[in-house]
Amino acid sequence: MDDLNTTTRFYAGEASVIVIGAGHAGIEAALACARMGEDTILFTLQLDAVANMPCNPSIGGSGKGHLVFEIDALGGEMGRASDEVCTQSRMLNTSKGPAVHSLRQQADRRAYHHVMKRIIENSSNLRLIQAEITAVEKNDDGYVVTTRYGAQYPCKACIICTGTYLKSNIVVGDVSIQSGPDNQRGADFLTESLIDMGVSIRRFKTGTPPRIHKDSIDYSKTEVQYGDEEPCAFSKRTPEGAFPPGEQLPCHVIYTNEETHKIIRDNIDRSPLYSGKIKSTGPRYCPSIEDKIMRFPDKTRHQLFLEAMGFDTKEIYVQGLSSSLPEDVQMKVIHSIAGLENAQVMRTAYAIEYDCADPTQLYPTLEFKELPGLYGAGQFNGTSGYEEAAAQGLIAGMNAALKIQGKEQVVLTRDSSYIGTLIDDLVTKGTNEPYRIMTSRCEYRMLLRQDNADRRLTDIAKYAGLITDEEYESRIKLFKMIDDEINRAETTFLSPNGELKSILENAGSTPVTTGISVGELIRRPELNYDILRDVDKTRPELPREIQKRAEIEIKYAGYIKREKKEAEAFKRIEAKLLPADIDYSDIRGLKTEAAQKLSKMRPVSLGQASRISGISPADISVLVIYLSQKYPQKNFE
Amino acid sequence: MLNDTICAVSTPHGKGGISVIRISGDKCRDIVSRIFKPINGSKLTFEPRKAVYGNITSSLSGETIDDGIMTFFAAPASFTGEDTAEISCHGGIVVTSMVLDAVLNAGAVHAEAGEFTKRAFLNGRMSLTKAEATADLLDARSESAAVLTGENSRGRLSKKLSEMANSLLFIASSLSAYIDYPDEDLEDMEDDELDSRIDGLLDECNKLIDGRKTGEAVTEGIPAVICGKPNVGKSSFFNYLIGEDRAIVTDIPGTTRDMIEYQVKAGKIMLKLLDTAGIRENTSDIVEKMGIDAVKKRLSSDSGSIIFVLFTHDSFDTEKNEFSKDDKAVLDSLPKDTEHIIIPVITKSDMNISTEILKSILTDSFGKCFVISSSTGSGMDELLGYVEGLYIKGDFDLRENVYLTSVRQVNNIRRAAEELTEAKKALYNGCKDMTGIFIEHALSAIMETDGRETGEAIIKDIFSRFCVGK
Repeated sequence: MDDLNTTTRFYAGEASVIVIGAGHAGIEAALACARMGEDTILFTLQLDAVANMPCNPSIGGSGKGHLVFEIDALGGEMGRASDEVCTQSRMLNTSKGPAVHSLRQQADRRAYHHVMKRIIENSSNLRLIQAEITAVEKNDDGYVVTTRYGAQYPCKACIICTGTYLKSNIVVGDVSIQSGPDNQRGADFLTESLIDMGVSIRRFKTGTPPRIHKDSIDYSKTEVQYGDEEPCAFSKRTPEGAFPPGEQLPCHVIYTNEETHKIIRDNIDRSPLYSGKIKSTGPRYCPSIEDKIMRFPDKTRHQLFLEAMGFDTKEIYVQGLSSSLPEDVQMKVIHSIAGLENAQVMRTAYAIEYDCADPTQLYPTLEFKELPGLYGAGQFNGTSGYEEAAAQGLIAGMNAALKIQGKEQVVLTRDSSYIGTLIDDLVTKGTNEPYRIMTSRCEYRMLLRQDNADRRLTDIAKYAGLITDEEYESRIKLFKMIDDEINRAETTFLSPNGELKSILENAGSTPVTTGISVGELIRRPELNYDILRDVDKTRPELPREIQKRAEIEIKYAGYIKREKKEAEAFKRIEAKLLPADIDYSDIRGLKTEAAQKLSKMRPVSLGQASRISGISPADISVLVIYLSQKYPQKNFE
Repeated sequence: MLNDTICAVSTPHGKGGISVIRISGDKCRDIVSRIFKPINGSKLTFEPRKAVYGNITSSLSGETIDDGIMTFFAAPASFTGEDTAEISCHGGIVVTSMVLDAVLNAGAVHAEAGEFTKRAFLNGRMSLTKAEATADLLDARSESAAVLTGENSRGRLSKKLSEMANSLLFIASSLSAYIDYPDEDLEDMEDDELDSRIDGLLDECNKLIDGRKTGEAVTEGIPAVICGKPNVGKSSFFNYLIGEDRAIVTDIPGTTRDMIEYQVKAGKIMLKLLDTAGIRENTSDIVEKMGIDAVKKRLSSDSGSIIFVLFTHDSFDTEKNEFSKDDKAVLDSLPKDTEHIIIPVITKSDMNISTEILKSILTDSFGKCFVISSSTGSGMDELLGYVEGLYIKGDFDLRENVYLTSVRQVNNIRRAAEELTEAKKALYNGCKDMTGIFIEHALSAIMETDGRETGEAIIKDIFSRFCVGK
């Protein structure tokens, strides 16, 4: 575009922080900065698409639920907004133990947009502006952000949250359109200026399934799935009585069949994934239906979920049917499925390709190592998912504000949170496909539960100034109530009287002959907190949340203690910070490849260094030997 | 430290027709230039992997000590990853020591035990498993050990461990798949199946741990100690076992200065005969007891050590029907645990005094008893055969089984077994989330065995095995 260079550029005002992109990452980043007192501008390509959910209408899920609770604990907005628009709430994995309980809410997509836009519009220190950003350039004091119309905004820090909009392309069969998700315009120029600053850019791919009209579905051929009878909210700030916001909507289960699979196999050469038209890397975590069928030829059916897009819309999201097959094939596929014979497609499934950054260029603060004051968050950093994006946005925003305020930036460690695990994975190991959080990525799962997210992160939220003093005080009060109840249960001894005997007998639990503590009884697999109510005479009246949290801490005390010990060992190596001026090429005995990798990655701690792929234990030994000789006072061994 | 250029005689001391002195480090070329002159008078070019014939001269006096072959290996394509030279000279203690002195005088320092291997590991020339197997090979003093470590080196153990890791991975990924995708129509792994898979893996771990005993007996040797009252024949027995030409003195780090280990072959296995000043030379009961205590203390860290308890014809008074006072004291001082293997031995059979009653009493108490003569050697084959049989059962073929050959590997497998036991418990307690976590721990325990995973534990272990970083 010639006009890009000839357009008159003009000074349009300055800001402390500029956030590019008002998706899930950008919103949290901008709100964090504004709440921490920084004058912030949030740019969006399209005001009507703020907080858009271009894929599934839901927030949370396995592992992701943990992220949302953590975002909430850190003073972020995602959980509260989701509570306000929740169409269905389900606690997942309840049969597997508290470490992996995960909350998932279906969300009203348009309402979510409205809620978030309202919150942003009502935030002080925050300006929401519709504009395409064509360039970010470095100047002496920070960065200058230029819009398509030539407006220039200098800022101290800039956070890039471009999601899937960067030079994006949607692909359906042999049709490829330069476009962002939901037929929104993409940002076609920004990539070049990032490359000019030295940012290394990659191309990822993701996709979304079709949406169909509710009235065209034969629900008699589906299985219904309702929300929980006692729906759970994400946020403590959601007022009691305001949740759930309406009657919960059910989801429905349907299945593909052999005919569906045959249609796909017969037309696989028309799939851009298989014809080679799409070369970028897609996620294993949400494969397209053609991928599933080609990779698992033995599976006779694949499960699909029908999810409502909102309270007042008849659009239905068909989870599991993501595709980039030509539209005529998609139609055939949909109509081959029992229940969807007459389905009327409202939005066609598509694949989308977009530019994103290699996250190993970032510090765990999400600041670019080579570009001080420039941060990246969300899909721009190579992740997938609203929750992953929001989590990073919050951390990037928090750290940009802390940096401007001259305070130490925050690094969440792996033992502190799923957010810390996610960021550490990204910046240390990098990713070759859109990254999704998984419970198995997290080695301290028993410590990092949903129920104690506030306990793990309140201090950081307080340090950053993202929670009010009242909120802080009320959380501390809550923690004390939990501790008091744990102490009471552990020190209250029950005598082996008839009442206890019959309770134990009914539960099939071994009888007791001497006094036994309430805590000890709760730890028995066949017993729980509630069963013991009648014999536990000194038990105070407590809110349900406190009872539940105390019970988990008591019941799993052994496991929790064990993991805490492991986390301590982890912390010790994590606390061995590497000097910033280390010259890896100077270390004798270090393999050249290892030296190059370490010079490029510049890990902040010995722990992070040891997790870099391709760095062997031998390399770490050599590094430790070098460090303990060069910095004997630092105790690297 | 890594900056020094190190040297050592890498062939068995004083044995064989040729000795090889190995030099590794930055100053390797410089040091070799000073002591080695090609026979044709040309200049040393240090062409890698080419044997050069020349004279070895003293770097101090310039005198020629010996003639021999020098082969140079340029960094990084050498065993250690550093510039390395190997000088082959004539064998024999005197010549070898003179050549070694010449190298030391030219600026090298003497290598610590296992230091070449350590450098190879630190320079990324070999994985941890391989380094440990090689360290064992370099240390191995019996043929069987060389076979065993050779097998390990070729990756039999790695293969076994990676099979186990894959089984664990299978369980772990199954469990997390159901957790991460609870709504998919995946068939959840039934608790029974999970339980039996864990059992199978526990079984594998236990087999490896048990097999370790054989591996240990073959490569490292089983600690063994001799005790008995004064003049019972301990010294003669000791001397018979070590035999003059077979005695190899090693200074094992961590043992006290007054305790020396003698490596002794008993068939295909090795015994680490512990010699304490107290046991051999003193006649006073108290000192002797102290000696036994010291040995017991040393043995308490080893499991399954052997104690030879010596008796002779006057140990048992058949008229009074009791052991002599001294022998009683010895019997009382024996450890009561089941960890130690106590072997009663009646000495001096060449004196032809009947010990049948003593033998039957000892056999009753200990389940076995051997009658030997240290001067004629009678009964020794039977005794040593018995000891060998404790560790090697039936037709022994080292190639058939997989053995753990280092303490670190054993610890990792033990840890894996513990984690698997916890996983089972968690499963019974209905905590499938914890089952998954313990399975992952077991996996990382096993993966670390191959050095593929890093962690605080590995680093710590490296520092305890290799004296580095001080």
